Amino acid sequence: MFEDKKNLTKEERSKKKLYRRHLFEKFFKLFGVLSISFALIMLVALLFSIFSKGYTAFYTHYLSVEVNFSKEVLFDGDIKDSYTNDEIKNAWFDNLIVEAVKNSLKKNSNLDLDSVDLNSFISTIEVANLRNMLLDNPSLLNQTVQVDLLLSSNIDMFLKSYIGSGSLLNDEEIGAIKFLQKSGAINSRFNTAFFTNSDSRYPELAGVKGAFLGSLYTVVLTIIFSVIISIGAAVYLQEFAPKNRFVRFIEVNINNLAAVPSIVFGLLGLIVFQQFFGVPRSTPLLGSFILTLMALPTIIIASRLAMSSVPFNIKEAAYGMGSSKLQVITHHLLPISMPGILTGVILSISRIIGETAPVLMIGMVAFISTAPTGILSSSVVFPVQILLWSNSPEAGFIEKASAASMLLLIFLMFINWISIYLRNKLEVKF
Amino acid sequence: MYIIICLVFLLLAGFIYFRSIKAIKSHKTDKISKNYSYFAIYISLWALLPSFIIFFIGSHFSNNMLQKALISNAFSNQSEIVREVATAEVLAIANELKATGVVNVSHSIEGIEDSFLIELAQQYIHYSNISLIAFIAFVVILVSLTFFFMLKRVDLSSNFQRKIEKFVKNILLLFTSIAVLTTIGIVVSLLFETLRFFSDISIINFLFGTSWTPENADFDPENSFGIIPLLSGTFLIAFISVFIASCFGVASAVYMSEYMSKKMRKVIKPLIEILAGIPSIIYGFFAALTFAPFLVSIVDSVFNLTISSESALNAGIVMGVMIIPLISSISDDIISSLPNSMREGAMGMGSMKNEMIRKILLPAAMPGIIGSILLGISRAVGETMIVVMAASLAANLTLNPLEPVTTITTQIVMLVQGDQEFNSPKTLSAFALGFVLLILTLLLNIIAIQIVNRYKRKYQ
Amino acid sequence: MSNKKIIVENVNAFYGAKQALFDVNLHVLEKEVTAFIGPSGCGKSTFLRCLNRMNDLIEIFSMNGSITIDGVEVNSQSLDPVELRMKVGMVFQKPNPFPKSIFENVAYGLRIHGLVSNKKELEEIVKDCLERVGLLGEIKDRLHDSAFGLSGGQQQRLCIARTIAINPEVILMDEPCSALDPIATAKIENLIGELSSKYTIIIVTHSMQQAARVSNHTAFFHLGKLVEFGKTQDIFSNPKDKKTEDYITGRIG
Repeated sequence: MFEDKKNLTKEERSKKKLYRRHLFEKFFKLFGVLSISFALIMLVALLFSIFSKGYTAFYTHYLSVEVNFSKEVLFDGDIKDSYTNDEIKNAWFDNLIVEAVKNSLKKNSNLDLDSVDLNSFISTIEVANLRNMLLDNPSLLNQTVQVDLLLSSNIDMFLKSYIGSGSLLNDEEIGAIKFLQKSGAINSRFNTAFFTNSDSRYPELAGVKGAFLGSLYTVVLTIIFSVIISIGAAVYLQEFAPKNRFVRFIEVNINNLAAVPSIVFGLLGLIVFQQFFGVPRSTPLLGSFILTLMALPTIIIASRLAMSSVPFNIKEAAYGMGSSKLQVITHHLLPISMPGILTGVILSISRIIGETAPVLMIGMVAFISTAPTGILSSSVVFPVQILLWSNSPEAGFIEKASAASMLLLIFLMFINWISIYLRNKLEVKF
Repeated sequence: MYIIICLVFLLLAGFIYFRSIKAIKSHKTDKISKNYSYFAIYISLWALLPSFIIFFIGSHFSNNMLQKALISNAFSNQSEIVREVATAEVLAIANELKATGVVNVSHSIEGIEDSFLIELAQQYIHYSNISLIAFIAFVVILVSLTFFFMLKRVDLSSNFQRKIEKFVKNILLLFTSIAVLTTIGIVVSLLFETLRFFSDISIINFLFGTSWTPENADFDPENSFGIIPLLSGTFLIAFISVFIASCFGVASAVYMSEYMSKKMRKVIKPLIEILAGIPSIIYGFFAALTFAPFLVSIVDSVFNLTISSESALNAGIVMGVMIIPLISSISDDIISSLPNSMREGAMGMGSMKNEMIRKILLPAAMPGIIGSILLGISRAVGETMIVVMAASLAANLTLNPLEPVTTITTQIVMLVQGDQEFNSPKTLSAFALGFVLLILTLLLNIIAIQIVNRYKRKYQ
Repeated sequence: MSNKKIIVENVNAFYGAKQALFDVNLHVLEKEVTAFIGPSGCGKSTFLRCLNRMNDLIEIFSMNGSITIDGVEVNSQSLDPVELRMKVGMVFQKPNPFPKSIFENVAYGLRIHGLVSNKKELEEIVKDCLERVGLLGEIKDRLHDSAFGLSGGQQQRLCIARTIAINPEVILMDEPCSALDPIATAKIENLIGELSSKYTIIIVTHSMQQAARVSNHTAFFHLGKLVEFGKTQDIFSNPKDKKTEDYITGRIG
């Protein structure tokens, strides 16, 4: 603006321009604020959508009814004084449940019970529960007992007024549920099954135990392998390696490895570990091999950074005392750099815990209803369980997937908090 | 497991035995006693390690061989499927027999008598026990032999501390080379499978074909594997996500480093970095179940357009949110590291803050920012879970962000998850896609790191 | 007259292509204090570090010539530097205690070299060493506190205690007082005097007064060359070389 030659217009122009410049400055700042707000709003939206959809999975609804173990219903008219265990095992407990629910609904006469699918009200697990009850105590025959029965997921979802859950029920059924709710027969409890069960075909019975154990086995193995290998490699590169082209090549290599997409590691595991070495498919052992390779670059880079910050005069002092190289490393280098190494390990492990794509490749994605018993039994991991549930059409599974995501997020935040805490606590000040 | 423990115990006993011998001998020499423990450690390392390796590899292979020789041979006149099922059943019986001592046939196989299965299982246990004992005996003998050989041959006056250091150094080198082996493993295995794929399908059709329909592979293999729609889908989503991430990421980096107070920054920066710590499966879940319906209704009501619920836009926006922290934190570091003299020079001439940023800071930081954007593209191209959950499976060749597209990673997951026939071009194509993905991301990454590094050298 | 403990012949040292020492010849007498003086960058520290092969830690370093201690060649490949450094201890310019307790700092050398067989013996030696450097009285009740809590002078004495704990024959001191205040310096200088009855001590210093106070022999280095070597009295009262005279009178430095 100063190169303007006419004196009079120069000030005017400059003033006019100044106004526009101030305006633009405001817009510029506004855009910055908007960008940050966008990121934060998305964060809040993500957390809110998951937490609001997920928290309901931690409680579930039961129907309190009087169950009459009538011989008439159980044995379809075949009335005897006593029954063998086999006969009891094969008895019609589902009819018993239907009768019980029907009885508690009969008090409301305006309901057309024929169009209510009473079979689908109660979870299938209750058939087995009642059967075991009777097997344990055969004297209950022809007695009436007050029992809390687990409601099936459809009903449960309706009671939690979950989106899209009402459409599966007809008006009569909704009326029946509302009546039961009004009469106080429905109560809600903490959903222990979500923590003590593994996956199930029925949403109300599905739990995270199997996925949790699968993740636990996989992650513990990964920690063991990756920590040993990567600290070893970091020590070698930092203390022993000659400065030649081969070592330079290894360094470039490690950096590039950190950028390889996780799914490619999955393919590597599929070809090399599963096909070539014959490690059994879908197992925590196979999963941990892949995840170890993925964790290596991060931990090596973090460990080297931590080791390079150990003051040279400490090492010098130790050598001056006649320590050997190994002694300098184990007595001084590793203890002093431990907080930094630990932070690197925790960060890379928290990434590994949420990693899904590579374990999909090696088949840790099947429906498995029993918790894994060891590192060689087929299992799923936590994030894959989320994937499996979120691909199911039932609202009950979506709720479970949200709840599992919630647990995963809370756990990861907890881990990050620990790493910050440890770093501040253990750091050696010089 | 208990066998291994026994073995360790045995060897430890030998170790202690050795130390005591040396302690007696130490009276004769003037070396300090510490050297003898090094000596003992050195000898046991050499005696233990080879035997352990032989034991583990050997027992693994012998079990496999036994399985083949005994069980598979017994059903050699049966079809392959029956042979497999029967083998599995015999192994299951044997395991149960070992654990509980009860014989139980859970799945009878047609044409084979249950008692024959049980008999085979018992034989299997018998022979595997024998082979195990033989192995233990072999290892024990091997350990003792190495032990006595070393005792005779090792020069007592040499420096064992130094030898152990060398040993450890070599083991550490082995660990380091695992990183290199991984790279070699990735490249070789993918290349090998890719070449097998190209022996079935011509590389021209793969690289330039415009239709991706692996479900038709059985009757028209040559025209089912065209990668163009996958590439267009992948880069469409990557472009949307990186566009969003770089606009918002760079703007927030600028605002945080130039306008925000230190205190505020300390709160906001970690909050944005939380976004980087959220697993991609959760982003995918969010994209598929919350964001997609929201986007459909917004686009429908505001712009009056129809948008697919599996649109590229949906996956792209959510992925963009995931990449924001990557770009913003690198840009922030770079802008913050610019010398203050630059700012003072511009401000001293009466320029506005935004002019100083646009004309002075951003041009200076541009190479670094471009590097971070390339890293972002590389992340977006390789990202899997978001697109598996939120993008489509159908390969549409389109650049319209409102339409459903598929990506390379989605297709890899779909192809590998199905049946595991390692000979069909369908499965093999997954490895060819993986190879393309690897090359794409590595190229982007190498260029990005080059740019960032060159920039760093200039200003530091 | 005591015997020649260390004999140095024709030593040249290099950092990469840059030569740091030119043809150094001298000898150090047993149980005496020898001081190396000279302006900074003259190679005196480099030379000191050759004596216990601390320069091995620097990759680009190389040297030739011969250094023998008690007739044993220091640079021979067969000699383990670990063994050498047990015999030739070192105290550094900046106090550098380990990030451990005071007790552990002194016990460290004893432990790694396996010089003690039981806990009682260890404690006795540690206390004895701290006593000898005059530190025990000052820190008796904080023996297990971090060594970083000590003052600079105390830290440096702790480093000396740590060195004498493994009972070396030679102690190298690389400007041990340069980071300390005058009172702490005086304490260390007294300590050096006491220790010289038991150990051969070589001290690098940039303070001529210090060299005059503590040493029996003095070597003057300039630009990597040994300019003059002789009895401390002679060097300071009657320097033979012009450069030495210039340095002592403050004209170069």
